[in-house]
Amino acid sequence: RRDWMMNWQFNWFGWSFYLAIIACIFHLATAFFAGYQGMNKYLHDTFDYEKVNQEIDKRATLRDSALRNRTPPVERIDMWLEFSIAIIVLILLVLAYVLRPIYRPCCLPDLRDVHVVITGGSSGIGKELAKQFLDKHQARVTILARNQKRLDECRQELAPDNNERLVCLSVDVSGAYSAVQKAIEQACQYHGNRPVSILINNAGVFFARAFDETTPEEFEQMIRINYLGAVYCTKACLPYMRQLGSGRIVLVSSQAGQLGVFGYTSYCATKFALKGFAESLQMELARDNIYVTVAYPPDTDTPGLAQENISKPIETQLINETSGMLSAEEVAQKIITSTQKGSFSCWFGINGFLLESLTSGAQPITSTLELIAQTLTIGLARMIIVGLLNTFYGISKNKNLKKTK
Amino acid sequence: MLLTIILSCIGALFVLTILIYLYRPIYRPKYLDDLYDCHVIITGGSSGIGKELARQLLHEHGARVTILARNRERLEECRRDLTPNSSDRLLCLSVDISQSYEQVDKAVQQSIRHHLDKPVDILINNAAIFFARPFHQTKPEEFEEMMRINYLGSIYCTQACLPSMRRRGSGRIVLLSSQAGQLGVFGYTSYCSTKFALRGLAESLQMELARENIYITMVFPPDTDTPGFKEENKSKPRETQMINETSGVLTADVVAKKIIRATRQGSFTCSYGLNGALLTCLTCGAQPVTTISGIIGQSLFTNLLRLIMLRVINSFYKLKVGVISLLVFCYGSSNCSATPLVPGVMVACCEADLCNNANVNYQVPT
Repeated sequence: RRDWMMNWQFNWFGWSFYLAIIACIFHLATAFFAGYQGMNKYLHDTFDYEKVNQEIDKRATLRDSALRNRTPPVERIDMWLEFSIAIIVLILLVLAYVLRPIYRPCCLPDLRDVHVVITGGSSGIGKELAKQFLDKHQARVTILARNQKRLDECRQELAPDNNERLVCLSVDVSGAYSAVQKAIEQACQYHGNRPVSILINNAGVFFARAFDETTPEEFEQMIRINYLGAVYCTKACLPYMRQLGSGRIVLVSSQAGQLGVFGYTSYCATKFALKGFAESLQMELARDNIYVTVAYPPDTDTPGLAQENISKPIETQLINETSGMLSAEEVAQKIITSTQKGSFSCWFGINGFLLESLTSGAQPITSTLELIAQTLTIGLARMIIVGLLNTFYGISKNKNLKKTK
Repeated sequence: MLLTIILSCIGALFVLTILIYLYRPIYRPKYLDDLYDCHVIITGGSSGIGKELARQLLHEHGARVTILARNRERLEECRRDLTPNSSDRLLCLSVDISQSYEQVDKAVQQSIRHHLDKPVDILINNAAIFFARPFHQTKPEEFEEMMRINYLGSIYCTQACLPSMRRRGSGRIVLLSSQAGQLGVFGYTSYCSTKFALRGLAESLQMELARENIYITMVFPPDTDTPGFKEENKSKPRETQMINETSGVLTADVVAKKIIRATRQGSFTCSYGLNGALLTCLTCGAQPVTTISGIIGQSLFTNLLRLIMLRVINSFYKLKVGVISLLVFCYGSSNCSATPLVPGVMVACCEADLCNNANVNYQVPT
């Protein structure tokens, strides 16, 4: 029962919203049928007196027979209504069976002593994740990052009493695969030979710059760190997860990994690559009880974002203002909840929900509620996003005019 | 009575006009009528789709073509094949586009000089490698190599060609993706990521280039009958083969013809057959559209397509033949496939179950 409760991905507001939509559709359907019948009768009655008399006679006989038999007559409208309701319910039941979730990951309620590896965990979202794993769930955390000084600061802050549940290793995840492998092995040994249960690929660089101002080396660096780093870490951790018989892999993408935005040519490409990687990887790992989650946080209040804001083009700034900014704790909390549930995508806010159902494409689902939500929202979301894209393109075309003036 | 009908019609027309205004196409590219003497650069053009494109552009449209590829012998063969009379409309340059940006830049400058200082009109990023292998059997170096050639190569070529397109004031950039760039498939962990990356690049680049009259086209061909495809088939896992058989195999000239048409129209996507159109509609996400019919079609049909796709994905995960799977097979046997109407999947598809396969052994580090 607890699993079922935790699979509830919507709050009551969203759920009642969808029930209201379904109720409206039913109401409209019945009103349509009733109105159609009524309209028919009205038209015929206005122009055909013969028919009117026949109708009166028919009703008189019906009434007489009803009085005689004491059974209520079955009106055509009621029959149509029941028939259509029955058909709709039948179709829904068949759909619910045919489209049941492909796999149902079991929820991980208890994360005590679970070995979690977080890359890029020395600042920002990664640090918040480590903090919550250590404090709230008493898990065992390994942080992989490059900068030794930031790692030390992070260790001071998260484990002030020299807590042995946290180990910070300095390694460049995009460097060489052997270095990553060694680091993971070292981490497992440190944590009492516990294999890796949860891997969170959070290491990423980002900056916003126009395409011509981005040097080829920056493209290469970004794809190496954001994408190849995640691939190497996943490859290194997979044998341990197979040994354990279960695992969770989290890829931290971004809302820029769902739609392409001005100024993010290099960044969007790497985050889209993570999405493609996740979809094909999940198909291979479904039989191993290892589940992949992709998180799409919007702008999050981290040092990385502050760094990015210094050199952001004006168009990107205007576009990013349409979606809000979240704090790192909210993002980390939602990521942890999604990982526990094993759902394929983790979205934030109503914007995130619309984007996720819009770009769901061929992604797998893990609960029927997701299926209903996505199917009902996609068409509307497509129309909304086209309007929004018009605005974005207007912004990017407009600034050019201002500059040439 | 009549009054209510008239009023409702006017109201509906009003709402429709507002909707059409709000959802008007984001940009309208001009149709390129005449490709005569257009300067086209095709990377990876010495075999497969690239060679077909070069052939059609040279012979049917009279364009000026530059082919960039690595292998010198194949380039020579290609040159002899396409221009037996050594015409100067075709230039074949041997360059590895994934090595460094300077090499690519030099090659592009050389080709511009050769073609009478004509700036680049159309760039077709076709160079790519592909193979299908399960994740645990793919080496880290292979991930890096594939990303370099498929993704970084396209970036370098685009960056090298953009200045001349800007000078000219118009241009077309074509990115060859694949149907594996629209959904993730077993065995394509490295390949899918590179093709998805191209899509992210295209969407954000188009937003930057819309004001400069340069339009990007993404092409999503299914399996195409090329030497690269034959090479891939030698080592393809069985699951990938079964999944790929649901969409057919096309010939390279059909693919090339549609690419050229879509480039002239400037549409953002180019897809093949019913399968391709539905998949593009489903995964349209936040792509720009260039026609009103595109918007209407996508808004109306994506819901239903999501349901259908979930059923298809279910069958990919389970790969079992069942009553409802008939839907998949009917859906799969579209008119673009060269396989018979009852697809090979029905015959080849046995009880392989990806979710419960206990036959695979993995190496565990000791």
